Amino acid sequence: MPEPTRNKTILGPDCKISGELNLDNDAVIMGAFQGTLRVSGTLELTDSARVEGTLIVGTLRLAGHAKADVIAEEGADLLPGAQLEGQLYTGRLNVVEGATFQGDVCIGPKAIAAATEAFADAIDAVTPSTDDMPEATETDAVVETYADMNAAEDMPAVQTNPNSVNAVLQRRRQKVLAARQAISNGSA
Amino acid sequence: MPLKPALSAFRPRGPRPRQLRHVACPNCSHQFTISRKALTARCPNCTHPLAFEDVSLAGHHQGELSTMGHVELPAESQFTGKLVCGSLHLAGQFKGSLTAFGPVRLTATTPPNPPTPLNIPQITGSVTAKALHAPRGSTLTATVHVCPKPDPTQVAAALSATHRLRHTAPTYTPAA
Repeated sequence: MPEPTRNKTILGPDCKISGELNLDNDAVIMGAFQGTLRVSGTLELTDSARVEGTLIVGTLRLAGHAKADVIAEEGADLLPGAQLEGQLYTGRLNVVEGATFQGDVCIGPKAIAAATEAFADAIDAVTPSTDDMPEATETDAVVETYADMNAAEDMPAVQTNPNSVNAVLQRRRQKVLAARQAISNGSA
Repeated sequence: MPLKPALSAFRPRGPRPRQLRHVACPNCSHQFTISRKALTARCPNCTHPLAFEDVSLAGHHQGELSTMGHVELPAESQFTGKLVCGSLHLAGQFKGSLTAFGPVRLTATTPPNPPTPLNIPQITGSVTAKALHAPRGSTLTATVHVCPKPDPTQVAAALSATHRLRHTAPTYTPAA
């Protein structure tokens, strides 16, 4: 039975990212990344990749340079030319001849549990939750007003994606203001 | 008048070894081949003396062992101490300092053998190797240094230990 197709996020060699990145699929990084990176699938770091920070991945295939603490739940493969410096928690490890690795390693059935305790702060910071959402602001009130206005006029309700609320608000703010002006003009 | 044959025609030559072993000099990283039966050799590049004694350690051992050959720790075996070797195949337990100038392979328990604490490959301590393979099911809790070319300080320590092995027997002592 063939495996289901997974999406793959590719960051090119000219890409430089700093911060936190959470990907729910496979990923290939060819550029530079600094911060906390969480990939649920396989993370491939090519020979041109430069990574610093914390990596929380399913499977790591490293051919570039990384100075990071790594949690690889499934396993880690260090390919020829790879350079890794930092702590590594994984279920299996394969460092081929030609790769360089320096750091502390914890491999075994309890490795992921130990990593969870050691990197509790990083894991909690990366994993999004509804508790981390800010309190209701003026923009939320604007969205509610716009939704009520749409319901009154038998228009389809506004479909907002929770992951891109800010982007939706930025694009539709002008429409809300225009609708308010139209209502005020109609009542007058 | 008959032609005089070349002197190389009369130079005795030994038989070519049928089984070869690819080794690397820990001093200059020069790779060369020797006979699989050879116990000692000199690096053709830097002339360093090297001992290539293969050792299989079954049971419980404690102490120091140095050889440029292959070391095998089978299942149900334990080694505690300092180990310097050319390559290591581990199915038992190791605790201490490990320096391998070749690959280190941990082998998980095969299905016929029920997994017990003694036949789960386990390394605790520090590991310096050229390559490392730890499959799922093995346990490794160590400070690891894997690099293509060995560290000069560790090379010096390993060479001195190899010299001791050259003159004396392996210094490991079976546990009581």
